Amino acid sequence: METDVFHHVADGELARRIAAPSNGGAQTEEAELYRRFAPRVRLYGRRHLRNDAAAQDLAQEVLLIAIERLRAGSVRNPDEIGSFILSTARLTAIARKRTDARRERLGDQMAVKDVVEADFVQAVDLPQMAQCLNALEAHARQVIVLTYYAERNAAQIAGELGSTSGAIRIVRHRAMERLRDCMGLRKAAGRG
Amino acid sequence: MADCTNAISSADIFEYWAGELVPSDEERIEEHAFTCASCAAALAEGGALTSGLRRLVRSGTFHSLVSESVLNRLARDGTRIRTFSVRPGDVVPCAVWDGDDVIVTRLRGDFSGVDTVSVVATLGSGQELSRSDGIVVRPGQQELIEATSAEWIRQLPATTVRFRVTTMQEGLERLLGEYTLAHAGSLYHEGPGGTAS
Repeated sequence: METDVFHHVADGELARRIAAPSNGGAQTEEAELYRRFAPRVRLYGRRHLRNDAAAQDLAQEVLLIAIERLRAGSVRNPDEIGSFILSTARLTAIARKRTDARRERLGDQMAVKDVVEADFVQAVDLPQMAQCLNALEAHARQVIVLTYYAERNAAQIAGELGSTSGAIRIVRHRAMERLRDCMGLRKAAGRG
Repeated sequence: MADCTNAISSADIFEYWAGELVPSDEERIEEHAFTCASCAAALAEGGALTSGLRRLVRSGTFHSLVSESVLNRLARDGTRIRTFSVRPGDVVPCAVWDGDDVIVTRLRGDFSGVDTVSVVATLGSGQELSRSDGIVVRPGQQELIEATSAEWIRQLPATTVRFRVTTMQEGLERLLGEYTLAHAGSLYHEGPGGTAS
């Protein structure tokens, strides 16, 4: 598989090969760059644009820009290709948010919710998640539903449930760790 | 690929997806994820978990005591909610219809002087349907809002569902209210002018 060929190739080296391709071109390197970074840009988009379809579009747009700039030799430091892609994602997302806000004001926003589900979303088994959620203590369930569904922050949740922000954060962290473990997902590489 | 020398913690990942990090921490995590594939994968898993939670709740496939803010969000998302309000001692007829996503039961009562309560739902057969312990009650709070998946209730036969709200006082359980829903089963819209069960 092409992915195996690139396994030991650092991101910077990959970028340099795209910037200075051999005679056969750098199509496989470009595909590998897309494979590595498109999911990260989608993640960024999900967090900041809060819309799966927009996140998907963002990933395509940003990776196209990055590849075009590499081909044109206008990425100053290919070793920092990750930072370059993130900066491009930030600028593109800001522009997109402005456009969306304008559209919303004009009232012509299209209903695109759930049109596209990014690959990482499909990995979650919802019936299993329902069981895992129900296995949590009632208070913990309330806290994570309020956080991740109702989008309330710790202070707001503390106000609603009669608690403190600090206590809500602790409950939320423990609940999410239990949920993650129950779902069989791995722990983050860093400390818990 | 770059080695990961300063991995993102799971606490940071959950706070990131909760939108509760200060901008500088958020940027630090994003910058790291764009240079470290394993942390990007961990961040993606956190995203999958929180996105799954949103989809699960939006579909109504959950059971929890909730607040008005959750109900408001469900309504905004187009989730179809059927609500029953009951007072202590009430026996209220209820049913779940084919279009319902979530059944909400508002358990009203006098909870003054109470810090925490337990809510236990039991079927007519005696089988425990759900139990929520240690629910904090705010001063002045006059109802508890129980949300249950309509799909789960749809699978029940015609039966009663009894809610008992209790609190612990000086080591003894004190009953605050008992509420009964007489569940008629699932009802289906036949089309204009008629319904059938």
